Amino acid sequence: MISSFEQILSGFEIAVLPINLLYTFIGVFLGTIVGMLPGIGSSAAIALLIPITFGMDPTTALIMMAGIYYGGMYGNSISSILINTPGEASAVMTAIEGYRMAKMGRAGAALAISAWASFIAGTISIVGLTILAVPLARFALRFGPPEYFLLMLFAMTAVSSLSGASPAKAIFSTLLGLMIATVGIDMQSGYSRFTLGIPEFEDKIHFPVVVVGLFAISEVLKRLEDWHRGRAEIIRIKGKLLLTLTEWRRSIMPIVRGGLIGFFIGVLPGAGSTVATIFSYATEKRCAKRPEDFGNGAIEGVAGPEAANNASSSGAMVPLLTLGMPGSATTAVLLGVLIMYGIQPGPLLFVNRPDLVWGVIDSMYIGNLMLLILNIPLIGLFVRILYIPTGVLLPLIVAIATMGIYGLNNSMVDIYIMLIFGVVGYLFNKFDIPFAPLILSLVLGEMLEQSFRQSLTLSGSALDIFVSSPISIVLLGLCLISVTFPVIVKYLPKRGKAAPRD
Amino acid sequence: MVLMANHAPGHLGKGIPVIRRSGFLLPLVLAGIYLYLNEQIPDLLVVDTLGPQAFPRLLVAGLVVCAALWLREDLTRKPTEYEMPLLELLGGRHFKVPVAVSVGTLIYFLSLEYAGYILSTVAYLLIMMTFFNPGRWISNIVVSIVFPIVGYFAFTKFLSVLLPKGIFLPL
Repeated sequence: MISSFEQILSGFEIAVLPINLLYTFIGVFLGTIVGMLPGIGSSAAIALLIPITFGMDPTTALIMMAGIYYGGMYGNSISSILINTPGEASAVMTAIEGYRMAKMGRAGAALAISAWASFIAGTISIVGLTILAVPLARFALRFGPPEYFLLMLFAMTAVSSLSGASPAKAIFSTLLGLMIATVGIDMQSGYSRFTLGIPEFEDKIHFPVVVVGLFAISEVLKRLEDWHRGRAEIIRIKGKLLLTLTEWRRSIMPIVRGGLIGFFIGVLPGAGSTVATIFSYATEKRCAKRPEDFGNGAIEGVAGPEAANNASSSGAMVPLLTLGMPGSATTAVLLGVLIMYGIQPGPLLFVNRPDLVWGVIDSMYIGNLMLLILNIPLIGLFVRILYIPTGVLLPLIVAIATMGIYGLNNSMVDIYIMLIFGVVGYLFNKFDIPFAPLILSLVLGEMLEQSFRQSLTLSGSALDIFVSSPISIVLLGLCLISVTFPVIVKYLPKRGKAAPRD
Repeated sequence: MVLMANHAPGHLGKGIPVIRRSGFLLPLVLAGIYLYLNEQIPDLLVVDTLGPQAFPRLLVAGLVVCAALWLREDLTRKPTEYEMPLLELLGGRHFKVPVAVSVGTLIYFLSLEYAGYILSTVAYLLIMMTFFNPGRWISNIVVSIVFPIVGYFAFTKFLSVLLPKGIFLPL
């Protein structure tokens, strides 16, 4: 323990070297800018900026990459809140509540709480990473295919139960997302499914294409229609630019809960930030004094998921550093960077390269602080984006989205798919079909199917594999509660709370 | 009988149009198409016991259940407020705006690979801003020209991300 404390301190000595401080700042700044681009999440931001690190010291390069990672996450939050365009699945909940807050004139508060939540939860999770890295990694190894299947199922039942007054429409949206996730080459058999003869579909329909279409393009269509109706007034900031005392009080416990949820779920390879933000959102809605505010700009719905998102980034570093297993798409890219520098992650990394490990971990704390210092003063500038006339902003969103989506794979098919989903999203809005379940089931669908099939292959098609471990029994129980709880609540004596509109 | 319009007076004396009770057809139609495409996939059981068709079949079953739930919701929904006719729900005469913008955006996308990102985007932005930001010619022209050029060079030179350069501007 004493030795660990000394290593933590020596890590800080490395992290505060002027060159490392400079690259932390550069990473955070660039990550924020690139993360704001629609369709470009933090994994793409890291991948795009890897060439900048060529020739650098490995520790410095990793410190900068880590800065880009959470800078990119905050950039996603900015685009989610201001223009309803999440760059990654983990920002979908922020888009739902944060954009509503922006439409109510509280964009500054949403951005501020996003920055504070990221900082506080990031700090909590870095402490967790420092103390619990190795035992948590061991726990994560106990998750096999049945546990993963039930975890994904629980995440999807949790999000479906949150989605508005029509369970049938929420289920439809969830199933549609799962169907889209089946397009492409089947991982187990290698056969193409539902590709309609289009070669680009063999590589799946990419998540950013769907999300930019559903969120950004559909919003453009809707707001231009509103403009024609004479209803497109510019959203002005109402009240205080940043947080009021009430908003602070409402946010602090969601941040703490989100931080803890995010860290522990982020440890699970593959589950990561998406599941963490769903759980955090569901938790906050259950704990809220006014659950009817959710879906209409509840600050708790931004604070909790943002905290969970940032905390899960530290959690995802646990399997990366201790086992060499990436916990998310972004840490998969980081793994590539490590290997590029000839560094093999795993348990021996803590022994052989403690300077690198603790230097990176401690730089994350400094990077979180820099994110806060850099972005809080810039909130006043960011919200000016909302003051751009509708007739200028909306076409620019299409042009930016086109750049971002084309840049993914240099494929025009992605661009057309984005437009199709834009029209679909517009129609979904008209008919009150929520599209958050679609997005989330699209992200989780492949892992859900693969873990389901792997489980039944292991058990020889016997379903009892799903109750074969304490973890799976607990998860199955949570699934059942998640599905039945809304029904039970409906028939309990009246609590005076209306079901929120998604 | 089930699908006939309900003319029982609600609070505002309006019933629910039949078309508004037909939403359940959407998951059913989708289930049919998806099932047809799924059955074209060979049933390969060499690698795992379920094969590539099994999970989609579960989804088809889910869609059928979903359709039943949707129908139940629509049939039991009481007209507590004015239920808009379908065309009005879609926006009435304002619906032409999203339709026109979608078509215009499609034309923009079709022109990308031939005209290149810069030229296509300049034209697209100029046309869109002329309609939706009328009267501000100078700012419209400046933004329409500057943004695509800056964006193109930021992506291609700084981020090394390729964008369509088209056949007219060999940059």
